[in-house]
Amino acid sequence: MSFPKDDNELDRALTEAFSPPAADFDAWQRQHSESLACLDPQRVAISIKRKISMKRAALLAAAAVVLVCVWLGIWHFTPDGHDSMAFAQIFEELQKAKTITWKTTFYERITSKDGKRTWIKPETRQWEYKSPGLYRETSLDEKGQIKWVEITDATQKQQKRLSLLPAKKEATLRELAVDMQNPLGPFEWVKKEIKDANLQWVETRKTPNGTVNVFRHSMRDVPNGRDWSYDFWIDPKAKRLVALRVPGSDIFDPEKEPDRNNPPEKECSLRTCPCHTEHDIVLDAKLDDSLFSLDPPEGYTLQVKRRPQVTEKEMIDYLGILADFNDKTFPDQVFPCVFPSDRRNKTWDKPKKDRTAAEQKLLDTDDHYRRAELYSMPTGHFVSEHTVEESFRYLGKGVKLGDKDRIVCWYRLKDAKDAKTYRVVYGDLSVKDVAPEDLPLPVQENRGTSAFAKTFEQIQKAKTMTWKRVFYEHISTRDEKRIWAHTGVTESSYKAPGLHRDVRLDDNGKVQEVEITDTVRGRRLSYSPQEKKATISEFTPYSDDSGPYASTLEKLNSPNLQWVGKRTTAAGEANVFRHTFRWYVGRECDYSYDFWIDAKTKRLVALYSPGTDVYNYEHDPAFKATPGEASGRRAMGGSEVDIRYDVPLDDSLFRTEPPEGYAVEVKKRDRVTEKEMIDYFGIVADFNDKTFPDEAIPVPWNLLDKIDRANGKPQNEQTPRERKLLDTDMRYGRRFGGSTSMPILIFFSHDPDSIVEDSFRYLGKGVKLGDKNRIVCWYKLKGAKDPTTYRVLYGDLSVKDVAPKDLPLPVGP
Amino acid sequence: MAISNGMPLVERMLGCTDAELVEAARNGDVSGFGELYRRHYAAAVGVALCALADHHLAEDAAQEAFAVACRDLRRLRRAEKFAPWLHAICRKVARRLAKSRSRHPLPAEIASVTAISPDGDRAGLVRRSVGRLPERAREVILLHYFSGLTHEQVAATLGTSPQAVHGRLLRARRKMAEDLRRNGFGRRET
Repeated sequence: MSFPKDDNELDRALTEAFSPPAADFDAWQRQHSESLACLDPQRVAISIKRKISMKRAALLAAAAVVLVCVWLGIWHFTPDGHDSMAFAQIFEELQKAKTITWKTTFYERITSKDGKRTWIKPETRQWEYKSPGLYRETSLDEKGQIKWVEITDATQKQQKRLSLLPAKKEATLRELAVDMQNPLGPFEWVKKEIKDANLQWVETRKTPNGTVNVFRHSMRDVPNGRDWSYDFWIDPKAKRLVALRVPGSDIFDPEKEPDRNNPPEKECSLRTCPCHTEHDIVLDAKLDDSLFSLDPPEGYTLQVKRRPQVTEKEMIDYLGILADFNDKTFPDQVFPCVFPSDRRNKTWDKPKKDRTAAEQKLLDTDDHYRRAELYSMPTGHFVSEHTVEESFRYLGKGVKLGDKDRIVCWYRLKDAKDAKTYRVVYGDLSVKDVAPEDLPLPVQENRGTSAFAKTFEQIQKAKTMTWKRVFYEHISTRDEKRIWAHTGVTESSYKAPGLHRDVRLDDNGKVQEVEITDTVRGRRLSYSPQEKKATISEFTPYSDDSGPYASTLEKLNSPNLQWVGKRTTAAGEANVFRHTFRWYVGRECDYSYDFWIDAKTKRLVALYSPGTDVYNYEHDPAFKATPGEASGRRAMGGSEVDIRYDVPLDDSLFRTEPPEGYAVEVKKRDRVTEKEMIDYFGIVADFNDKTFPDEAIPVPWNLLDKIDRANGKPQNEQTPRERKLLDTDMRYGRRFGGSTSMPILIFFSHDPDSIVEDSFRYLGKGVKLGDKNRIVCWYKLKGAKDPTTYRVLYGDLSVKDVAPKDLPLPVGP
Repeated sequence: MAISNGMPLVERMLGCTDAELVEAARNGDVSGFGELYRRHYAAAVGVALCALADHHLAEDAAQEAFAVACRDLRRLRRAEKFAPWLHAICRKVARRLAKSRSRHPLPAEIASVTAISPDGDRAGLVRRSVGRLPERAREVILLHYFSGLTHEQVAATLGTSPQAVHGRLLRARRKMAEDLRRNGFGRRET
């Protein structure tokens, strides 16, 4: 049988041929600590300082050049140089600032209740920052009275915030669930923009405090599918950052928006905040430490809120709510949790009355956690706070809510009594403590080694194996109006090394055909007890036979392998792993293999191809249909079941001698003669513009392409040379079962009895067909009268016997 | 904008875009770079393998490329282009490594007669056939089958469209099929 039969088979072979490398960041980290140190911001700051110093030196040098130019009367203004200097100064001042004060104005766009009008409402907040990591934010009402104050200490690993409500004299001290302020300072992102972004000058603006140059960084906000920008307002004289606008005025300009002067209304339907500006920026202002105290002022009542927590039960409940929302199926992933077509966001947009109970439940739960100031998904928060790092594994994709047999996820609790035990959450939201060795997939500690090493080892070590191969097919009438299913069974056995026996049974369970293959000797016996006929076929022996399942099992190392559940077998219980992949060409579809691995012994006990997600004979209605007159057949799938190891098997079962009383036909191994090989060389050279190819083995790409193009032509457009080669190929293809159409290859490579090993040498590149003086190749024939003599083929296809000393190139090892 | 520093580690990293991880790494967040490493390691080895045709050397090249990327991360102007940038580095490192170790991009192992040795296993023959492919075809095959990237991910890595990748894969597989048929790799299937 030829390989590959089709693109699907090649696709499978490619999938088998490669296993992706494992990324071990820890190992890399150990070896590249010096590189990682470059990520240290302090070190980078030093490096930037050095660069700025160098830039300064360069600027000084440039200034000297400018002076010379002025002196020469050819002075020319270079705005880029001024910008660079201003940016360097701003960067350095922000870097050095011990305190910063500024104001933030939010421009809120409000829509009227009937949705027909909008107006802009600005709201300003006052900020104070003290290095390192202390923030104070004050919100003022329209009359300038303090509405609230928030003081944040970002210096600790877990940030704390004191909120003050002066009107009520209430104070709340919170441990924040997530970091709300950057401990490095409020304008770290500005420093980065100045340093990295290629800021473009866009305009000079007049402000109440003077003129500013506006520089802009424009970009595409890919996640939100919009254009975005930042505007930096720089005082050209003082070279100071005076304001920031997000987004820039190319997207939203509070001074130019058409609805900026519209009168406000009492009721509204929608509020958005399309823009905010940071302005009145003052560096190194004098700020009293008391402004940043987390002790409430006198007379305030204090409420203390601990860091919000998610319990294990809440996390599991939340998984259930997600599954309920997602049509009672656990989502494909939970970090981040993404639903098809952004369903979650769409649910928000629905009127409450149109939401399902599951949708409302999810929104209410999200709202609950928002109010609890969790600011992250409960699952993520729980995993981060309460589980051992990287012990969480999610397998919930496709698991139905309520399925008590399917695993949704597992993890190890930080404070567990038994540090090794995993908590396993099932589809019915039950939880069990499971030892790592009882988990169906390897846990983190085992990463890097095959989880199925024991499975591989047992197959490799097995001296004998037996299994039953069951295949399912659909049979149809000629008009395909009636289709019914048929099951075929073959009992197979293997004995190392290289002995295979397949017994095909008929529908009544009687032996229909027996095929015994000895891959080591290159001999196959097939016989039919009913017809009393036997056939012996000889073929080139395999030098190795890895036994059954050798290549199929490689799929167990696939990174997308899924555990799909447990199944009861005669021997106990098996974990079912599924390898899914896509067939692209011809018939683009999903395909899979199901591997059943015994839970205790880790032996492969069954294999389904395709997996039951693609075809499940138990649910095939064609099995209930009544058979009719068979015309067409279509293979639906197959399984290898009841796989047993080291079963006592008598040698007589693998004898390739026919039983007594049988009519025997012997098919000798077909061989390519020397003349056929030479003739074929001539046909190829004739096809290849009367020139021998660049290589003989393997066939070079340029020749393959040429043959491919010829093959693609309509027959009446093919030249006689092309036709000759293609017809010859077809003939050899039929003769050798499609394994190859190249007699050159069969003669020199596949037939161990043709030539002496390693005696073939090809020199035909560029040799013209008919050139009697140029050598195409030489080789030594096996069994030749004079074993030292070489056969030399020339460009005119003549052959001469030549002594090694007379060859133009040395031979031998 | 940069990712929030306070989000839980797992959620923060797994849900982040490359650009956000680059930002985090630039701000000294090693775990951000770790996630970039985990995400792009297989692809980087695939890219290197295309030039080196030696699995172990390719892994060395990919690791070296990450070290270079880590040191030069601040030079990357467009953080969202981390993948093609890394792979450009990886190609350079792999070619330098190939040169320094006097290994031709298509080593003898691939092109020799052993490629059609009757002793070879099928996976080995397929690998060798991949090695014989022209570089552009080999690259797309390795990224898809070796590195396990989807069409979209291969497209992002090579800076082309998924449709183009689909077409290149089709053509590469067709070339391979022809190579395998002509060169008799199916002989063992008797």
